[in-house]
Amino acid sequence: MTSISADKKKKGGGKIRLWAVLFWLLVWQGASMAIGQEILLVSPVSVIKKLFELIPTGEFWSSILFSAARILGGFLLAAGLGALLAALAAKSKRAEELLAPAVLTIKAVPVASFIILVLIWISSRNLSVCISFLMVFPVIYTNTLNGIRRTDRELLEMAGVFRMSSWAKLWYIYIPQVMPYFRAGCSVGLGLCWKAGTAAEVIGIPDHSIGEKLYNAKVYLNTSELFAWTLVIVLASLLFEKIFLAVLDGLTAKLERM
Amino acid sequence: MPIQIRSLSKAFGDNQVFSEFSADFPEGKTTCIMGPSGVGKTTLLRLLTGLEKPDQGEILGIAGKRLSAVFQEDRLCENLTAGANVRMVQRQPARRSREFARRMEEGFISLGLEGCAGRKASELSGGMRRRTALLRALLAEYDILLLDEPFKGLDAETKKRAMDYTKKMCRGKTVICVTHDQEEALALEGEILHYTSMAG
Repeated sequence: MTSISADKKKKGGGKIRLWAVLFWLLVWQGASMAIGQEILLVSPVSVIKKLFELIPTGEFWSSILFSAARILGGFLLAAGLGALLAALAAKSKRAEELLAPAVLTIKAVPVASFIILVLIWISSRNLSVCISFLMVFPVIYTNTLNGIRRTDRELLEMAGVFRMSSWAKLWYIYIPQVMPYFRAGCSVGLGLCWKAGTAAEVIGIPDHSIGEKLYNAKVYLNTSELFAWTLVIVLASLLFEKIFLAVLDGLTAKLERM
Repeated sequence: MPIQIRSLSKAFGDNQVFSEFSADFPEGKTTCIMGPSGVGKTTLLRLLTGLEKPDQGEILGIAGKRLSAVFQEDRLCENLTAGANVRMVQRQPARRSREFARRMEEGFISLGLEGCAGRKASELSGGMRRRTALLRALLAEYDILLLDEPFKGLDAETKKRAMDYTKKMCRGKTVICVTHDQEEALALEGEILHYTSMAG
């Protein structure tokens, strides 16, 4: 896992165009019609129909709530603890040395191994909290530490000359300088936590979770439902990423004016 | 107590910048240090701020004093507003006080920076950034003010405004200003010390 670039305003490249999306949807629809077997490749129209069947049901919303609360709980824990421990590691060489093997292990161990291991320790209900945390923590920790390390030395010298308090240094120098790195980590982490969290739920099969719905769709070869839930996961991931980053940007903008 | 430099030596590798250098800077007055590039003017300020340690010798009259400075570089936080950059070195509760807000507003106007307080440092021109760094130093609570070419990059008219404001704000304070420009040194009405070498 590599560190994430702090440059959040790169233009071009990955921009999604409506015409391109429509093109691929048509390809998908065409392929599905050519195969002619919905179990093998369901059509996008069937997926949308299934999604609209699911939306009015209470079970649909309770599953989303169940999974979102746990997956995002794990994410928030990882974001908080990752940033805190990165600050500690930046301050103390010993702390960094102590944390290095743990962070490296979390990065290197496959998520499936973690899922099985964690299932032995805790109930499947809270499995996704733990897995989401383990996937996001190294990203936030590495990025934040990188940001702290790249804090402008000249500004820190200036703060020393003016004898700025630790609080003022944190508020005016460290947070604004580290924020782009932390933000980039959160952006990646929010995608990762949904992927890993739902994968954990598919293995742990906690009741009333999105993972359980995916598992049932697989068992009953209900491909349209499988795709519909996948779409829900993608949309939920995007929605929470947008909301979280908007809140973070709002706080940053406020800080920059203080 | 004046600032007294006694038998100061400082070398960077083979480059002996100071050798047995001594000087006095009177309290409550402005001293302008002039000299060619590379003579050690900026190093002298770095030694006074404690950012560099002397190899030998001592600096008296600076311990425990509150310092303020305009560095050779602007040293502004790019993503903060100019106002936040000026406020950041203030102590609480002065930072949030109405009195300070009034002084800051007055300072921005005096330096020709009307309407800049709310703009990000990264959006300001070189001259605006320099004046913001100057205002930050002038409004900080300090006993000794160290200025390293504070009017660098300003056009004639803006420089005059900045020099007038600096002179007004520094009256009766201990100021050490490094400059290449005789006009600046004269405008600040301080004692002028010319050095061709500080290495003996």
